[in-house]
Formats: sequence, C-alpha cells, structure tokens
Amino acid sequence: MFLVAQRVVSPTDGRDGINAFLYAHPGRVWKGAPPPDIANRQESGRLVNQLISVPPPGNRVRSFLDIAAPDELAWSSIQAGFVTFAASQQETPFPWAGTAGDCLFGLSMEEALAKAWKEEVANLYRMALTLRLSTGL
Amino acid sequence: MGSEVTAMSKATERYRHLLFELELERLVHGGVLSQEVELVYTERFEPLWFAMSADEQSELEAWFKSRRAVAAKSELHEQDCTVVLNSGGPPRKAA
Repeated sequence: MFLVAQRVVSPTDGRDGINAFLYAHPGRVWKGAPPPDIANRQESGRLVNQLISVPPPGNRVRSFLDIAAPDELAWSSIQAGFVTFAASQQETPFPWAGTAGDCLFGLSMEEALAKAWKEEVANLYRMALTLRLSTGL
Repeated sequence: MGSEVTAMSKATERYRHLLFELELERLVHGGVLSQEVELVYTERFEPLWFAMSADEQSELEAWFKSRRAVAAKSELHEQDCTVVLNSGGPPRKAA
C-alpha cells in the first residue's frame, strides 16, 4: 500500500486543500523495510481510492505525507511506526524520510507551514487515516 | 554503569516519543482528548519520568521549552499530477 496525503494550492485561483491517494499492492507482504521497487516508487501500485479537494494537475505541492506499508497492516501498527518515525526526526530539517516497523515514511512541508508543523502533520495524518478507513483495505 | 546510562537514555527517548504521540492524538482529535485517554497517557509518562536521573529530567524540561519550528525550504518545487483509478503513476512530480 502506498498512501499519500498532500496539501496543494491552485496556481490559478489560490484554492488550498489536501488531496489523498491510496494505491494497493495486492499480494505484496514484507517485514521491516519495504522491498526496493516499492520504496523507490518503481512500483507505485494501483490507485484504488482518492479524496480530492483541489483537482489536479498542475497545483503546487505545499506539504506531503507518504506512507508505504503492506496492504493488510493494521492502522494501529502504522500509527505506532509513524510516531516513532516523526518523534525521532523532530529536530532535523525537512524533508524527513525513514523506516519504522514495516513502514516507510516521507514527510515534508514548505517553510510557511513548518512554523506550525505539528498541526500540519495532524492535518495530513487525519486525511490519510480517513482515506484508509473509508477504503476498507 | 554503561547499561544504566543506556537505560536512562532510553527512558528519555521514549518520553519524547510518547509526548509526540500525545500531541498528535490531541491534534487529530481536534485538540481535546477524553479524561480517560489523558489518564492512560499520564500513567505511561510517570514510570518514564521516574526512570530518568535529575539531570535528564532537567535536560528534558529545557528541550521542551526550547522546541520551535522545524527548518524547511520556502517551496518544495513539486506539482501534483492526475492519477486515474485502477492505474498507477505518482501523484506528484518535480515542478
């Protein structure tokens, strides 16, 4: 599973919002770090659901949260990994990238959002969680 | 001696992780958690706090007061892409 929540702003009318995308990798199971083809995005998987508040393409990306995890992994395990990942990175500059548990995480945001980075993390996280729960993977 | 230092450092690290988890939980739930949930966190914080030395507790308090924004670039220089259901392809690319 590749789960992305990204805040974008429209270059034409200035609309700002978070879009989220959920890709499935049926049959792919791993322990620890994801396999290289998934970690490197060579195998993005199949898009199975999305939440769009500002329609693509061509919007500027202001922040993103990327999560690569086995399709069947419980959200509680993803959350535990995310907390470990983010807590260990919180004194380093963005972008953040790293593995925790069976998940690979990526997180970044522009300077204006980084002034209140925890709120933005929560916004991205909430959207990712909403999409995952509404998909039933 | 060495293992004692390592154990105390782990308590500090786990305290920081737990604090972030609590902050994230609060933010995801609109800023407020139930008293029951807050109490569970309190019960998880206490043994970690008391496993630290006085110096570690002081360092943690200083760290807590000094926390500030994470450094970041002014722009990510990426733009989003259209992705079609049941197909692949990334949702963003370099601008």
